[in-house]
Amino acid sequence: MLPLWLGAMPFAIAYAIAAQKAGLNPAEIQLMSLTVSAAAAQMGIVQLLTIGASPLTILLTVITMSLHHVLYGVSLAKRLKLSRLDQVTTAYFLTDAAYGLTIADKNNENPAFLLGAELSMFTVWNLFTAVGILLGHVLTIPATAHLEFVVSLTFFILLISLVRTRSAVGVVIIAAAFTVICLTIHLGSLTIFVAGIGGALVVALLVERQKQYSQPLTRSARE
Amino acid sequence: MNLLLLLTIITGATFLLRFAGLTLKVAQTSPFWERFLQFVPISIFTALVVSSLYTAPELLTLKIIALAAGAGVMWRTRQFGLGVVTGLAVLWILSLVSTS
Repeated sequence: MLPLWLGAMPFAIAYAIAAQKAGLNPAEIQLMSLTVSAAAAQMGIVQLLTIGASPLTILLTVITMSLHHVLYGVSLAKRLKLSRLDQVTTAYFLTDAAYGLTIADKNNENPAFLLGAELSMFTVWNLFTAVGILLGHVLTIPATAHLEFVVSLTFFILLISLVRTRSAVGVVIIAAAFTVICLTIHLGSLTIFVAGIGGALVVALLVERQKQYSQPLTRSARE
Repeated sequence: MNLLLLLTIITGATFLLRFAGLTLKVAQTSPFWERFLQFVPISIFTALVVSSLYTAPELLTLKIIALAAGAGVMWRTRQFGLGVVTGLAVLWILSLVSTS
């Protein structure tokens, strides 16, 4: 968890500073971390508030940024046996990082692991939001520190640990292509959702097709 | 609109998205969807990594080298944290060298 905390800390401080500059008061800044609890969505909200976007625009942007969480939920529901209470608590605290850590371990079927990861990220995020509110005016994190890179690095290493088959390599290639296309056509906050569905769906369809073709061949070879 | 009301609506909407996913039972219906769900984390992690590389295109090469270094160390040592620290250190050093 430590590397992910390290990645969340500067983001939380940066969010608090940006929110102060956008005119939010300390209570509102902390409340957003307690309720929305998602780095990218909160930064998006602050940016949109700064430019005076309408509430509907802000709401729709956050929803598109969070659409891939539906996929996280479906994927977690397949792996973990969650009671109704587990579903409610894990849904509230679900983040990219907690999902990544839980799903990376193929033998992990314990809902408590997911909730533990979620709560630890939630605590660090909120603690460092408070640090940003209190000390934002004196704290400066140099851009050359590239601490935001920890998040990409973590997901890349989790990704490497998941890629074990030829189909998985295919998913990486197709999802990367989808991402580049989405970014090129400026799909913005929908990129992760579209590329996430696209990569998985195309390779699942290809594998299905391959199985359909190989079954009659196997049968005729036997005959 | 009042910010408090907006935050309440956003919190409700994002919670419902996450909750809807957790309560859907597509996995049990067919092998196709089961396979699709196995691929979802790989696909989303790829999208997250690739899109993050695009946020600062001038650092693209350095970031790719740092990712490779981090993954290489993780693969050799099986230490997740060490892989992350190595990747970050490599990016620091390379960006300092390239700017000096």
